[in-house]
Amino acid sequence: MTMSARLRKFVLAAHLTFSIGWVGTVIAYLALGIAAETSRDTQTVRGAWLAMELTGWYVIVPLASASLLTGLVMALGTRWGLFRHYWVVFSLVLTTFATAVLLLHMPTVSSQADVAQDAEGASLHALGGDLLHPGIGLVLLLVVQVLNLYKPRGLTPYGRRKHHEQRSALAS
Amino acid sequence: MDDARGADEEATRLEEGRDVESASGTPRWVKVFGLVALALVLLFVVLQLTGVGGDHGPGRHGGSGGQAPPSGPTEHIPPPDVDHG
Repeated sequence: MTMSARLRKFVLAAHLTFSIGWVGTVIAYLALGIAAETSRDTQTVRGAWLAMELTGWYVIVPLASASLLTGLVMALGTRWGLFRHYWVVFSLVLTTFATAVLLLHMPTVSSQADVAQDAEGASLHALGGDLLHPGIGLVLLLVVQVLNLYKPRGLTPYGRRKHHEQRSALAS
Repeated sequence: MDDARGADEEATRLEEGRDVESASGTPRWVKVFGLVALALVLLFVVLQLTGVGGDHGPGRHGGSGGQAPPSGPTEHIPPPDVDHG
């Protein structure tokens, strides 16, 4: 069932807002992680870890979930479909993977933030910053962004079959 | 509004038509993408087997082994100081 043009534009606007917001907050999160990694000041490191935890749970997780959800609605509510085009399938897989890893990783961030509030000196600085997971996540999100912008050609076998069925139905 | 929707649907149909005409099999970019993804998965497996990538077992993210998993971010936020001076 395809959405009306007005509804499609609304969902598209929401999807773009959530998705671009997700990319932006991950970049901000990385800045906090770099501060935690490189700063020698105890308050800065503690503040960075606290900010990473709050940003992660209250901003990045909701944005990721909303981006995934609105992406599903966009695919299912338009003729693109969810499994007809390779770029849609890959976007879905990468976004789902990124969201799953985010949800699994955030408890670790909370643990590290708890440790950071009480640690001192060498044990505090040994925590480093949380750079690997968000760094890889950012790369994945940028790949998804490129796929969504350029929409490289390629129908899946399922998509080819559905296309032929529709053309046959129109011809008859 | 109907014209806009019709234009969108026509654009999508044209895209699908080009896809069907241009791709007799799996597009090259899909094969390259799949190979890169497979290589990364294999790299991850090798790193795990050699212990280089750190502990990615059940205990890393889920707090298993009898420990309660870490809760959300509200526990250690101190209450604001109220100045009565």
